[in-house]
Amino acid sequence: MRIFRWIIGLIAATALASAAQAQAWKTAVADQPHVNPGRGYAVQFPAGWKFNRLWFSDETGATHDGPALQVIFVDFRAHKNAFKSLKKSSSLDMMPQEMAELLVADMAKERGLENVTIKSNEPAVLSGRPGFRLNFEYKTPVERGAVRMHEIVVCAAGAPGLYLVGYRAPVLYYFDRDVDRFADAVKSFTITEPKAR
Amino acid sequence: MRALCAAAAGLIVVAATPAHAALTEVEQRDRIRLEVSHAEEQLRNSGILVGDPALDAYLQEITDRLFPDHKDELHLRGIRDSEFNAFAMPSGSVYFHTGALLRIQDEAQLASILGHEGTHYTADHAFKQVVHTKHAIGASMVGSLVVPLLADLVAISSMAGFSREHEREADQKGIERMSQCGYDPRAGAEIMGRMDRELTARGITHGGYFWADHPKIQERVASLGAFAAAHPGGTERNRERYLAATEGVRMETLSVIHRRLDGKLLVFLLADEKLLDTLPPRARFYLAEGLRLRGKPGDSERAVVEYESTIKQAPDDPNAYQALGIRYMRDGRKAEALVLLRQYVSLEHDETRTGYARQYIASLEQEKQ
Repeated sequence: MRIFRWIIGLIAATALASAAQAQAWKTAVADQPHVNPGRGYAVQFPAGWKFNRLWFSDETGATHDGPALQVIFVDFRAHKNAFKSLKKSSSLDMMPQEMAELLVADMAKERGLENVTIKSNEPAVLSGRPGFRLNFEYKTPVERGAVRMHEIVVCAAGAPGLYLVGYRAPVLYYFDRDVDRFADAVKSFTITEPKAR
Repeated sequence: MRALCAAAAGLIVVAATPAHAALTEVEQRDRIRLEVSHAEEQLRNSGILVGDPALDAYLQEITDRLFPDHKDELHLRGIRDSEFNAFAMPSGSVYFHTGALLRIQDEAQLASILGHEGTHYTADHAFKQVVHTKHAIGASMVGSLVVPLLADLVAISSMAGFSREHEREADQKGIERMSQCGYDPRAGAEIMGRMDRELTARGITHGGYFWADHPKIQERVASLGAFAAAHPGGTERNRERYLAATEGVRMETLSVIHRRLDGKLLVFLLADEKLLDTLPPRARFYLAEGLRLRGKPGDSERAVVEYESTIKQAPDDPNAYQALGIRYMRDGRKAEALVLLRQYVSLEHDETRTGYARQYIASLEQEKQ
């Protein structure tokens, strides 16, 4: 019985340590891009914003007031698991229009959204590669506050997977305030391709 | 919303359970009223109500015709959800999914669902359900901790959320009312039979879907048929009126299924269930897309035929031009692709939608030179 308690204590301590680690936000500094060699990209987040890997996702996000209020994020998706909710993959030669359609369907399914309004879906260039720019609004589900959100995602394919640079914030007040900072982050984004491990 | 609807436990049950034994009936009703009012406020704020006054008025008109004795008590609202469902709240609000409107083909079928849902309200089924399940306190409480409030309410108030006895009563009284109003009572069994076929086609057998209980549906198809035979007389279908009143919302629902890239469902609804006959010619584009997305052997070729048919039948609608242009571009039929993509750009009034096509045109023109 005692050993059982000891194991539970150890698990709790590990969980607390992991949580503390996960909360270690870094501050973005001007002209010092955040480099992720494992995922193969570099991005300059707005100076003074905090950035970290976001909880419950594989995105790295930067925020000024908190991830629920505004976040500029980078998401890398290996081709094999690019559209997890749809159980579909992507490829380097996939047409951007097709990628955008799959992303919309994947997001709607993953987040349980029934009310996505696509404001625009158009070709774009990310780090010199052909891709798409998706601009959309939705309301979060009732149990998550029914908040009207505005989101932009710019995406292009690299050899190992898809690179998504996005910005999401509530329509009310926050979105317009920092959308220019997002544009700067997109301009700074560079695909370097991941280094072999 | 589908996920919400899938929740199993009933909050109304919970609302009345913790101090159940100590509450009088009046207190229990007050408590339920409060919970329902809160849930409906959430629903209003969710952004999923259709909010089309003309559609709501049409649904209300049919309901008032069926329930003249409860005219100011039942209130109809459309909900944007591509699945088949409708539910009545104990407050008298009846919510109708746009997915149900898409699948229904005439006013008599609509009346059969409204008659059923209205009866749940007039027969006080929600409250009776609370009383009936008061012994299941433990399980209900566990459910309440893990599922959202609205889901619980919807779950217990929806088309399949009541006991078999209550469902049967709602079916029977609903058929009686529609027959008295002059509607063809056979419509009830028709729409239930359609749902049975859809479940089979989609391979849905349990969970996540309200209609997943096959034997129960088959039993209801049979009993609805029997009720209709017992109450003959009505012949009214009002197909054209129904289709005109719901065309906009039905097309919007198709586009939602398309955006989810659910090719299998598009083909099932439009081709196998022949809903194409109930929609404007431009809806054929969604059948072509369904075939492209489903990707069974032969679907790709059939999709091309359907794109071509769409262009013939709805020449002013831009979508098929772009889709077929892309298809030809991929097949190396570049000259034809260029013509179609140019036509798409000239027909599409919303410039924000033409970016890809303009890019393809530029690339094809460059290759041509």
